[in-house]
Amino acid sequence: MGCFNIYVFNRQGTCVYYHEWFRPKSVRQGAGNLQDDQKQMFGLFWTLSNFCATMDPKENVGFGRRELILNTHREAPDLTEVLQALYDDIFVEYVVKNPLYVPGQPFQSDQFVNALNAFLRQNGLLQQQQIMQAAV
Amino acid sequence: MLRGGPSGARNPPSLEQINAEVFTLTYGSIVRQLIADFEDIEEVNKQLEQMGYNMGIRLVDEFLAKAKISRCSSFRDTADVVAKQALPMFLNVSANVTNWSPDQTECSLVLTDNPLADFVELPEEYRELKYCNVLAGVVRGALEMVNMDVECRWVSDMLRGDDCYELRIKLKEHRDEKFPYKDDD
Repeated sequence: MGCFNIYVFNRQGTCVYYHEWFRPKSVRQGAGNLQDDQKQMFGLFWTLSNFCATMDPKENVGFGRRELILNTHREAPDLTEVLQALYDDIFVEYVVKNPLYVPGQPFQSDQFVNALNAFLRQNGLLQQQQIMQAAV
Repeated sequence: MLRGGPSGARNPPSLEQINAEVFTLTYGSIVRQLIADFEDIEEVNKQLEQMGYNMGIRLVDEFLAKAKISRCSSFRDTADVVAKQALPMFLNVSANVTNWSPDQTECSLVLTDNPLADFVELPEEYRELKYCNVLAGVVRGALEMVNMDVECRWVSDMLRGDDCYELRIKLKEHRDEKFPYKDDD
């Protein structure tokens, strides 16, 4: 059971980081190209959060958003905490604190990638490809 | 194989600490260097604010990651969070939020202790220097990242003989998030 891919969006809805570990159907079969794929993913979550805000009986004022989207296998359990920890301990530590990172701009950082992989493996979310292939 | 979710308890996030005197002295030498480089106090004030802004836009992420706060429902809440949680976390002092304007868009953060300005005396020729202006920038930058455009200025400064440090924060706009793409994109 593992992760398929991850998207990190900035507050303007631009995808600043994308990585895929395993994507059984290529982007061409979906949105067409990666850019549209990312845009659609953002749109989907935008709509979902608007929908939730509309349903929410409390009057909540919007909060700056930073979106991390991690697609995982359907048998993965609740990952709320994992996602929170991913932001707190990996994104903030390895990206925000990186002096070369310009806030809001796309980034590439080996340190971040290594930490991300180690973190997901630690949480049992990165398994060998074969297992995943068998699971699809 | 994943069973039963991630290992439960997470370690509390650690905050790196720095000796307060090193911090104060380093800040002092930055200000001194800026004065030497720009030779114009107004320009130094502006640079300090800009430096603070650049810190603020990053620092907010660390704050959100470590402070474990819930959503702020109003500017009032936000001001309290800045005064009672953010300042203690990064500067080890807390502030009081006072002097609200009737329409709740303007308030003051009042500090009686300010580690930035320990050991500092302002010479007569630099009276216009806003020594702690970096803080005004930090607040502006950090709040901008959570969709609040604010204006920050120092209205009292103990270095200039006032009895407290007072940072006036004015909420200019609370931006609603708009969908960044057009329909036909």
